[in-house]
Amino acid sequence: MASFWDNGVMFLIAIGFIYLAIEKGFEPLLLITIAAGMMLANIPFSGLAEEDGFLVLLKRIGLDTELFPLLMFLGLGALTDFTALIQRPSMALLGAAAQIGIFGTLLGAIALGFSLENAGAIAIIGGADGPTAIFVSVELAPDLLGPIAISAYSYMAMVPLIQPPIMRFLTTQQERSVVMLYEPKPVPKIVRLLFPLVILIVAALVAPKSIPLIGMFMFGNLLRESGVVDRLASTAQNELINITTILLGLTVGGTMVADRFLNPETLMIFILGLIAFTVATASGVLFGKIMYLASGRQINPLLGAAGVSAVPMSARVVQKVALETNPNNYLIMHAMGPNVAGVLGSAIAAGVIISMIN
Amino acid sequence: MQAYEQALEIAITGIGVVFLALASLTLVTLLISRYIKVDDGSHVEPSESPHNDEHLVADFKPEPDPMLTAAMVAAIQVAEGNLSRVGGGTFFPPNWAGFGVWRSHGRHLLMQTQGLSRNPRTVKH
Repeated sequence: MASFWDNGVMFLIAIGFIYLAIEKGFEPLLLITIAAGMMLANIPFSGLAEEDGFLVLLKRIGLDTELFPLLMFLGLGALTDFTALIQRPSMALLGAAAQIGIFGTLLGAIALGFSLENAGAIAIIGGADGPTAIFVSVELAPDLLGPIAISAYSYMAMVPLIQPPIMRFLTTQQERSVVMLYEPKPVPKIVRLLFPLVILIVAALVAPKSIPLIGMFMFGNLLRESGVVDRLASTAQNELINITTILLGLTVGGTMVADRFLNPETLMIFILGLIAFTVATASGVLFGKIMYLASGRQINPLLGAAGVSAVPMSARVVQKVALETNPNNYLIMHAMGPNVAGVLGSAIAAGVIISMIN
Repeated sequence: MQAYEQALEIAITGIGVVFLALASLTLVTLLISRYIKVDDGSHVEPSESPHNDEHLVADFKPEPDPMLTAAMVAAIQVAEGNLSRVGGGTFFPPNWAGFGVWRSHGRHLLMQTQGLSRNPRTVKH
């Protein structure tokens, strides 16, 4: 049982998260809800985080069953527009390259002494996808759910700080200045409808354990693209995802009790999370340089950084860094392709990790 | 050591699977897009589902459309009399049939301001 002082420290940390969310705009939708759960869970003698308490009940219903992250993915699929990726499918490879960060972090976590299960859960932070990180953590390392979720969402919010120095370091001025004009090509509706089905089939063949995530994601996208279930698509994009965000954040925060959070492991998880994002960005940019050369200097290597699936933050960062070199170089639409591909890549990586470790 | 070897195996397999999956997706999408062409009457509009990205993309403000910028550059050039084939100095409304000509000229001018385009799709032969 945690001491009064430990509970007090957790309370202060929760207040710190609320400050970051409100004043600095750090992923407020999740940090405020998580902070609220943390505060409630660390009030002594309230019973909320104890057996049969409200927060434990939410955890049993929504996290142990993986219900909440899967509903989040349904909503995210309904919000995602794959047009940019369909127009330029080769950008998917940049999304794949950025997932190297996940597996590099896996090795790093093992080197630091974490067990294979814990290392797998920590590594998925490099996927830069909150629901995926929660999904894998619940499956492999439920005790580390709190620090992993906080780490994932915090670093996603810090993408504009983390990525630009890496992108500038790994590319030359000449590479950054590659101009890619955007010529919108019409995408037939039948292609938009087939695309989620194709993804579903590919994922089922190569990584069946990723199907819960990919399946819900594609279901949400199908609702969006069908054009005949606007009410359902609207609900998925708004009410469903809002309700799930509230419950998910509260539940994740409710797992962050002092005796589980305040230990050296938490600090190592935060360090590994930063390494994960760094390696993911670097691997994406380096693969971007390969594509730059292979395409005859047509593809701007900065697009590789958009493979880190913090949608649409990393795409905006690519745009911003490109504009520094050439104020007329609009890369945002090109960057959305690898950005959404990164979501698919991280879900597939999660499936591989779960199936090989479990 | 055993854990590290297992992790290495997972890493190699995982990277391979992710690349295989997304490369397959690339290939299939290219094939589908090649064989399903756009007809005059086909649905080519962006998805009509309600868009409410505020929830997750509250900070995302779309950048100015470069095509609109190009069209505006063309309009300015005409007003200054630099495009003799297009009559008048008035900026025509977007629903005018000749707007496509404006956009095309604007695009070329934009390309010129950025240097010669090396993209084979934009080079006129």
